[in-house]
Parts: sequence; structure tokens; C-alpha cells
Amino acid sequence: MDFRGLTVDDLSSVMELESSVFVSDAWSSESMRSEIESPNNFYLGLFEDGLIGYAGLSTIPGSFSSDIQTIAVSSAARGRGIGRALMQELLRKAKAQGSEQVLLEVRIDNEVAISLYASLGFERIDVRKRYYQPDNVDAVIMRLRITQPLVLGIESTCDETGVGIVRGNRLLANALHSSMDEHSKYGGVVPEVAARAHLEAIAPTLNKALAEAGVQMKDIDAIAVANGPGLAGALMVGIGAAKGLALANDKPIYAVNHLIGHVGADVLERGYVQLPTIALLVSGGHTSLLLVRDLLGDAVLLGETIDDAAGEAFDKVARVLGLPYPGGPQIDKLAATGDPKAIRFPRGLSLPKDMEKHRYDFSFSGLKTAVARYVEKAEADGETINPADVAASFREAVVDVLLTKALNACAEFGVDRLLLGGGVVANARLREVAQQRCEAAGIELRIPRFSLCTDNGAMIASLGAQLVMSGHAPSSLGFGAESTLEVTVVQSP
Amino acid sequence: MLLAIDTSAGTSVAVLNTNVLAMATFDDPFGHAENVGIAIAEAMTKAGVTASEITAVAIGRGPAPYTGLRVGMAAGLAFAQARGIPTYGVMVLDAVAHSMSTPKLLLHADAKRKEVFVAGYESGVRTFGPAVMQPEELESFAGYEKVQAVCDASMVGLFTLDQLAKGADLNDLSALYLRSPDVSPSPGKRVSG
Amino acid sequence: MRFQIADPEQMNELGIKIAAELQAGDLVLLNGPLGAGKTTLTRGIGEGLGAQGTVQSPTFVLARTHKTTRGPKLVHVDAYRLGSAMELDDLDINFPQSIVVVEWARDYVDGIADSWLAVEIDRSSEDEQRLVSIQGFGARWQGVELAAGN
Repeated sequence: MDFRGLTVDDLSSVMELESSVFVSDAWSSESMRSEIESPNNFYLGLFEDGLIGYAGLSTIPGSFSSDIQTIAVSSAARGRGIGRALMQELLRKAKAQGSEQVLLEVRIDNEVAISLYASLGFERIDVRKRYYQPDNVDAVIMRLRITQPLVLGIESTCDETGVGIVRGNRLLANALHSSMDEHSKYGGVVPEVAARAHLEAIAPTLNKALAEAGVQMKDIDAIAVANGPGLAGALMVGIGAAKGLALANDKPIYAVNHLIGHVGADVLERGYVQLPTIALLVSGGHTSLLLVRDLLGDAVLLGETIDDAAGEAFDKVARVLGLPYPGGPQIDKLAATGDPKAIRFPRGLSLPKDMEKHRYDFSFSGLKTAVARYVEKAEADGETINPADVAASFREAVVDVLLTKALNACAEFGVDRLLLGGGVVANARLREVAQQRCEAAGIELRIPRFSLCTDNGAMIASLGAQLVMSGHAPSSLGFGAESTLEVTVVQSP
Repeated sequence: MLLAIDTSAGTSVAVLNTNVLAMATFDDPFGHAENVGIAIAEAMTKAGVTASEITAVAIGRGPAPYTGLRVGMAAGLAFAQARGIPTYGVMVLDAVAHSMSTPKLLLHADAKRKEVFVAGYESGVRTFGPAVMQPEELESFAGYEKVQAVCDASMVGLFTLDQLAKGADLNDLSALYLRSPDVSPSPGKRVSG
Repeated sequence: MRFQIADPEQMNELGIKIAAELQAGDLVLLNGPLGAGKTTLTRGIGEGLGAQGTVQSPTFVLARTHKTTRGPKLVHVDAYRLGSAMELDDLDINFPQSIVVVEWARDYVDGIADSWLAVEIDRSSEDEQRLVSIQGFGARWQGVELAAGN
């Protein structure tokens, strides 16, 4: 059947069918137009030598509930199961959006429709007296409950072991174990140390997540695991565990992209992720700028760091200033009393000559070198420096270049939404300047809560759930760790 | 029904009741993450059992090259946790020794860093190791037959059954690394000069 | 062999030239001070090999592995935080099937390899000029000449 989404261009065909089917209570053309145009609605039509049926679904974002707005089939085309097919498409959509129930009203005297809905699993829950006017007919309210998949996700891309559990778009558990303390004496992440920590942390973190969610492993419908990008040895522990879990209970497994997981984390924050969006993901291991139009199939890497990640730059500059690891919080503390305008440090890849090849790429190596040079020169010349000013000016340079490029991307691609993700989101100055600049530019800023921004298992579970809810086949058992997985690969086969 | 998993060399999985019913092994010393799931599925299929019939898991704890070792251990531990069944851990050189009948046996295996993992056995009882040493040091073990150990899941499984029957404690599930990660913190690097 | 490099673009080009000579099992050791251009050179090598994913500083993660269209994996190592060559071995790199480039390598070959390509980047001036010296050690690099630079 040739279904397609309806647009305002189809308005006249729709109105023709509307008035022939709903003689006395047909919608006005203006009402139909605003229905079709609403971003919360999904209108579908079946064409066969003209429009012969249509139906509409409405989902208020974050409500976990959808409504069947209308359904109509031309009298000549009845008896062919078109109504059922239209309904099934709408229910597929409602499920993919994370709805846990679908509601509809139907005339109490429309026995054909009521039995169709009942056969699809709808139950009567209420009656609204004399709802349909001018015919003075009661409405029956019916509800279909949708059970969303219970998905467990494993995150082990770097130094945090995360196990998260979601039911559809609802967060049930987010358990985390970090090996940051073990790493502090090494001044950074050591793959072997991280991998050893993951192996020890998997079982207790898994238990913690199950207890938090109040479910058992046998209740889980699918397992998701981040198979990249990240540290190979660390990834392999999570992958081994995920495969063990999946095979133990004969459940499907989904190998997903960690960076796309960060973008999808917002789903758990408010029940949906508004797309398209520009996403700026900044952590110790990643600094990436993405344009995401469809979470499961359309993400483009606009740019990323060509040398150090932003978080790494914080670590290195902290060391130059004699501060311990991790550098981010240390720099923040010191910068609190410093002047961000004291020293103009370079904003990497921001020159006119960079705009062609590296428009949205980042480079923090030159910045780090400039700070080191500044400090060394002062020491050599016997001058005292104000470390607070150095920290504040360095931090300002990082925040400036990150947000300038992110907002330029919003402007160039006509996207008025910016999502922040990754551990560096903890930096208060980054959040402060992001808020200021986005407000000034009319850009909607989204920053999920910190536990969903830093590496975590819940975002992985959520991405897995999205794949299950929209009917994607699971991954095979043969996937491996991909330390440089591209953002165009959301799920590995 | 015992599921035995060993990734100390290649990727090996076996299903046993009192004997080995089936084994699936990939010899590739890399690719453990890719192969472990396939090996588990294959071993169960070949043995004609489903996951719900597995009543215990046995894992090889090493000593072995770390990255690969952890994959099998993670898979085994997770499988058992998901099924709510016990996990038993064995030292892989013990499992290899158990499969041999050499009176004075010195088993060695690659430990990377140009070193070897070593354990010595007399009449089936471990008298030395496991330890890490330079290959040259093996010469000092006079009278021992020196054999390069290559473990697999059937050895892990059979040794586990043997030990359980003797009432041994196989509850230590930690990895036998025999070395610390040993990354020395380095001083900062200067830009100028 | 010595190459006078005027700017990052030329450093990138030199990397592409080096890549043309590389095959599975090769080890390239890069030395030079902070900001010398080691990652830029490695990026050029990655480009020449058709590496998937951006070549970035692996300081945080110690090693990044890229699939390449040439065939062998490119393993980009940063030994900045490694104390000895043996720790390099711990990274469990499949040396025979990979092309390994190590930044901050110093003399970390003892016991790891019999042949390697040593690249020294000298930056004596404040501007973008660099002097790159390349020397091959061991049987693999006997008689191999890079196509003359400038």
C-alpha cells in the first residue's frame, strides 16, 4: 500500500474526502490545515488514483501518550482492510515515539470502527455523553496500552563503567563506576588501568542498575552496548559482558555508537529529543560538532578536534600550572578569581585560511603550547604571573572557540537548536556563555542533567531502545570494538 | 551442564556435562571480542543445549595476554550473572597440566613484554608458580619437561569438573595478571628549548 | 634524509610521502618537542593510507586504531605518558598486521622491533619552519629512499 505523509499541499484532496465521510461533523479547512502543519502531529494518506484514506496521530512531546485524531476511508474503498492498515501505521509511529498509550474517541453507534479498534487491542475506558454534535451521539473513549521495551545498556568506552536501564523513553536506572581515582596518579587515562577496572566493575554496576530499576535480567527485552568510538581494550570488556548477557537469556543485542548515544541522552531528560539539532560533544577524549536530523539515520560530523580534545587541553594546561588531574575542575577553581580578558590566547582554526578546510574543526594544541610558552617565558624572564588570570584566559579561549563554531553551525544550517553533551559540560563557564550566546541568537539550548551528559549506560540503553522501538533488526554476534567509529554508523551490524 | 569459556590464547568455548559435549574454538590470538559471542552460540548449538540448560559457568582466569583474557572473563561472568548460576574460575596452566600426564612438567606461555608465564608441576601437583619470568630463566629448571601451554575451553571445563568433585574452592574470579599496569608517571614536557 | 618544512601543509604532504613507503609491520618513531608537528605529520600519514576517522592526539587514550583503505590498521600511539618500551607492549598492538606510529617515542624500541623509521622534528625558530630528519634502522629500511623532498 502506498502510504505517504501528508502536507498542506494535500489539503484540498483531504477536505474532499473529509466532507464526504464526515457529513455533519467534518472539520473546517482551517482546522485541517493546522492539524497537518502541527509539528506534534503525524498525518498519513493512502493514494490509489487519488486519496482514498487518511489518518492522523498527535503526540505531545514528553507526555508518553498519543491520540488518534482522525481516520477516514472513502466509501468506495471500504472492506479492503485500509482502515486497519492506516491504524497500524499510526500505532507503529506512536510506538517509535515512546508513547505508552494511544487514546481515541469514536461514536458509540459506529460498531464497525469500535470492533476494528478492539481487534487492535483498544479497550473502552469511558463514555462522553452527547459528545458528537449536532447528532447528539455519545463518544466512547478507548485506550491501547503500549508496552515499551525494557532495554539494558552498557558503556565502557573510557574510564567509566556504566549500566543503564530504560523502558522506552523512560529512565529506570543509571549506575556508574568511575576509575578516575585510580588514574589521577598517571595524569590521564591508562587503557590497561581502565580495562582492569571495567572487568571488576561490571558485575556490581549491573546489580546496582537492576536494583535501581526494580527488574531482573529475565525481564530485559534487549541488550545495548557502546562498541565505539573509544579505547579498544575498555570497549572489549563491555562487549564481552553484553554478549554474555544477551546469550544467557536469548535476547537480541544492539551495538551502538557512543557519540550518538550522547545526542540521544536528551530523550531521557524530557521524553523526546527535538530534531534537527546541532550537537556539541566535549569530553576528555572527544570534541565533536554534529548536525543531527534523525537520531537513527542522519547524523553528520561537521567537525572535530584535529589534535587534543578540549578536556585533554584542560588536563595539560592544569599540569603546566602545577595542578593535579583531572584538570577541568582544577582550572575552574583557579579561574574563579581570574580575569578572562587578561591574556588573549589563540582560538585554534579560526583564521580566514582555516574556514575552507577546517571550518568546524577544533585545535587546542596551539592554545596549550601558547599557555605553556607564556608561563615558561615568564619564569625565564623572572616575572611573576597571575595563575588565576592564566587559567581564566585559557578557559575563555576554549569556551569561545567551542561556542563560536557551534553557533556558526546553527546559523549556516538554519538549525535553531544546540545540544551540549560530554563531561566538559560540567564547566560552569561553558554553560554560562552558552546560555548567554544562545539567548542572544534565539537558539534553544539543551543541556541534559550532568549524569546523562558524562559517559553513562542509560544513554546507551536509550539509543538501543530507539532502535528496538522503530523496528530495527538487532546486531549480529560478530561485531567488535571500533575505536574510531564514524557518526554515520549508529548501529554496527 | 557446564559452559566453559577461555580466551587465554584464541577464543574457545565448550559445553560439558561429565564430558565435553561440544567445543567451538577460534585460533586467532586477536579478535576475541568479535568471536566470543559466536563461539558461545556455536558450542551450545553443537551440544544441542539452550542457555536455560546451562547450570554453571567456568572461566579461565589467566595468566594470559590481558586484553583477550578479559573478553572471555567478562562474557562468562555476565552470562552466569544473567542466569543466576555460579561461576568457577581456574588458572589456565593448571587446566593444561591436568590434561597431560607428564611427571615433571614446566608449562610456559607468552606473557608479552618478551617475558613468559610459567608454572611447574610434579605428578600433577603444582610446585611452582604461576610467575612471570625471562625465557632464559627456564633453563634453570632441571629435569622438567618444558612445554608451551595452549589452553582451550575443554581443558578449563574438565579441570573445573575434576576440582569441583574434589571439593576445591574455585570462587576466586579475579584475573591473574601477575603484573601491575606499571605505567610510570612522567614529568611535564617543555615547549621551548 | 632531511626535509625543510615551511608550514603545516608541507608537513602534511611529507606525511603522505612517508605513507607511500609504509607497509604492514612497520614502526615509525616520531620525536620532537611540544607543538613540533608530530600529530600533523601523522595526519598526513593517515591521509596517505586512507585512514578512517580523524587522526587526533592520542595523549588521552595512549593509542588510537584506524582502519585504512590501504589494508593494514594504522595504530597511532602517544608515548608521552608511557615510562618504558614494555608499556608499549601492554597496549596489545597487533604489530605484524599494523602500521604503528609512535609520538614521543624517544628510544622506545629496545626489545620491541628490529627495524624502525626514526623521524626527528626540529623546531629551532618561533615560526612555522621545521627541519625533519628521517633515518631507517634495521634490515627493513636498508636501501629505501623516500622520494626527494625539496
